[in-house]
Amino acid sequence: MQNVVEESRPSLGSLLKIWLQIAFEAFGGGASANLLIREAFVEKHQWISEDAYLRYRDLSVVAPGSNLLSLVILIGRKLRGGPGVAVSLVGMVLPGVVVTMAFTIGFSLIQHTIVMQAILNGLIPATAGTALYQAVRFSWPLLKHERYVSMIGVILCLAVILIDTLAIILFKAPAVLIVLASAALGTLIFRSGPIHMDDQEKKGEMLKADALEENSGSLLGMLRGKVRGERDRVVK
Amino acid sequence: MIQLFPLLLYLLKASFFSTGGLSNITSLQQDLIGRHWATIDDFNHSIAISQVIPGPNGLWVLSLGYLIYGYIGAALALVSVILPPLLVLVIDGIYREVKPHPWVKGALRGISLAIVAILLNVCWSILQRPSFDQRAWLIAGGAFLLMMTRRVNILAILGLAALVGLLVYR
Repeated sequence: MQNVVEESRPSLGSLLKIWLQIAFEAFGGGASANLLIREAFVEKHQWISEDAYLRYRDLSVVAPGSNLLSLVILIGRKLRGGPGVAVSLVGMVLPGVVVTMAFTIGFSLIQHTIVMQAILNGLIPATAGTALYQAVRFSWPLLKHERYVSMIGVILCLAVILIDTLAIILFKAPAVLIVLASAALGTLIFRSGPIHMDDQEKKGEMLKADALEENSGSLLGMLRGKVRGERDRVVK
Repeated sequence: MIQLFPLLLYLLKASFFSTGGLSNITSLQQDLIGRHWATIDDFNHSIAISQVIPGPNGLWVLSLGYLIYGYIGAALALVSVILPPLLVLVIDGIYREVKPHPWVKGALRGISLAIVAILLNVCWSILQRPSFDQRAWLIAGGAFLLMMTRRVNILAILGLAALVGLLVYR
């Protein structure tokens, strides 16, 4: 545990300055920004503890909209209350807003030139590659968690992803409906496990989660119990 | 004719029912393209621009707002980016109470899997551009593999892709 200097808080001015610095340096979305935020607030200035940072990060994943902005809001409130939230949001969003608008306005002026079309024909497929990377990165901790417990969970996770993807692509199912239906399905299939498994990958934790799942009576818990019973019978 | 209030509602709906910067794309595509308020190119261009700017990648929607309704569209989009994450302040209180319940964790796991599916759909829809051929799929695959190495900066990858596009498609 780090020695956190909880009583020393940044002024609103220095808070704004730090968020502006992070926002200018964070390219590529949440991953690089998270790293910079941790470096600045947990390691360098020690204004928030590692535990608080991890809790905020987990909370930001379940909040609607941009996870990064949710994290920024929580840190802003922790350090300077309401004004801290406002200053943090301005600091994190302002550089992106200015640059986005400048790029978009510039782009809309030259988008029909042959050179720009050729560049876009290279750039746009690459963004599909980055979206695929994000999908893999987002699903990885979930699948990893399931892998520690049993392969049934992995298969069920992949089945839900496949069904959801096909429902959107083939049947044009509304995204909102997919989210709600998956949440309902999740309550039936999965009933345990931390949301962010990166920091809790110890097998013991996973087995505890498994035991909880079996006791909770979820579909996955029953399946796992059955497989384990079968395995024990074979071993005997 | 785009109506501003419904546009704001669609933008907010997409943000409120998503988590993560790009996961509102599918909902917006369904609502805006379906009403002919935006084209698939508007989406592709906005997403491409958002990849080369600093800060939250959820700001892609700002670019979309500008492309379909100028500065007012961008302003509405900005509102839809900032408002939903503020709910985290409410969730912070509620989550502490409901977190121990097994159904909460199950529901969150289900939502996370839906987000993965939505991101896969984003990838699929980007590659459905009529002018894209096998070369586009190769570029997408190359970008994905480079990202997976975690050793190449995203800006370098996108710069390389732009250069390849210039050489191949010009």
